[in-house]
Amino acid sequence: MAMTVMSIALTALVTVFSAGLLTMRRASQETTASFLADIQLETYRAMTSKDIGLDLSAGTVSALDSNYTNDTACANSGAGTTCAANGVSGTETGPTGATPDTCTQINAWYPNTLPCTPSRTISSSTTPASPDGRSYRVDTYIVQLPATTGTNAQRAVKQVTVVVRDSSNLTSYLARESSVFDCSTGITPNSTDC
Amino acid sequence: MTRIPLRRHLAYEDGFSLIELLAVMVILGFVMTGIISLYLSGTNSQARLSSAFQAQSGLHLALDKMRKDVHLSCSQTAQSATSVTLSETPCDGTVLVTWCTQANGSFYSLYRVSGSSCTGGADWADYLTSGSIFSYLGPNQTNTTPATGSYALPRLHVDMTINPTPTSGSTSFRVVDDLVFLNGARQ
Repeated sequence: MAMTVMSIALTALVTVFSAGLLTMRRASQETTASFLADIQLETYRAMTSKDIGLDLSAGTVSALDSNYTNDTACANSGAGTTCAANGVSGTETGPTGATPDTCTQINAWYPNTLPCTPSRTISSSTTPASPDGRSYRVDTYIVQLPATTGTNAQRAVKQVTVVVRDSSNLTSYLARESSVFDCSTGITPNSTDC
Repeated sequence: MTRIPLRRHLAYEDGFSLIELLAVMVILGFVMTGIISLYLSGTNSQARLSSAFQAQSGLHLALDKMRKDVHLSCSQTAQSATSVTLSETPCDGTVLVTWCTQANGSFYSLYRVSGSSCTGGADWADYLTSGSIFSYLGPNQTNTTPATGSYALPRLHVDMTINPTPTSGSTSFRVVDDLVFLNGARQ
């Protein structure tokens, strides 16, 4: 009887501590993921609008898994289609402009965040390393939204969404941030790209 | 079943032997030691994680605030590895904000000060392992080399590491970010 009561009490004690630690760990991971999403999105603010795009070469696209292609951010709101149904290259955009820069060149300009890479993993062994040493995957989606006319007319814009996932559990996400970039705010000097 | 009358039961003087008592105390000692060590271990882990999480959250808030200041600033007027002064709107040098680090015991703290000197101000983040966290990237520059043709806006490179519990290396947290001067010129 005494042993039973004691084992129940011990189990409860361990459970309470474990739950507290897991909650804290999850909150810490979400904070780190939020850092990573902020850092990734900040890169696009420095870039010219025409360079905001993803590497859509066949090899890169075919390497993307269903966690990437099934994400809602992969949907092109203009056409109402999804990456999973239509292929990444059908809904996302690469670098644009009259003379687009290559993704190799763009990634070389911004080596810390590789803004042209659709999906990359950040861990303790990458440069720069993951802030807390754990492994995260940063998925980036860039969709060209067409210009609209009428009362709410707007120029064509590029919508960038950054989704950060735990590398050990890719089915859900830890942080998600999105921003829209108008070509006029990132126009290349003396160009006619916008 | 034979029932012993209460009066007779109370009259018994039989008790526990010294050996029985010692055995119970030893067993209880082992059990209590286990429980207490488990409790202390859990409490320590929770305190360590909590401290690390608070420091991370503080750093996140500080970086967000600094990001907004850099986005809104017209230019930087002075910069060193430990301090950067930003000229905010109306961009005539009358509104200055300085972000700087100051030693705080064996660590450094990150301060935001109104004005151009690193005196007083609000403490935004603690437990920085180094005070040298800033460097300036001009237009068309990457972290290491000129990036001709990128037309990148000027950026403030920030490299911060915090470690609220130095005895445990696992709580070290490093953030590297390039904050963009949105009002800067593309060249």
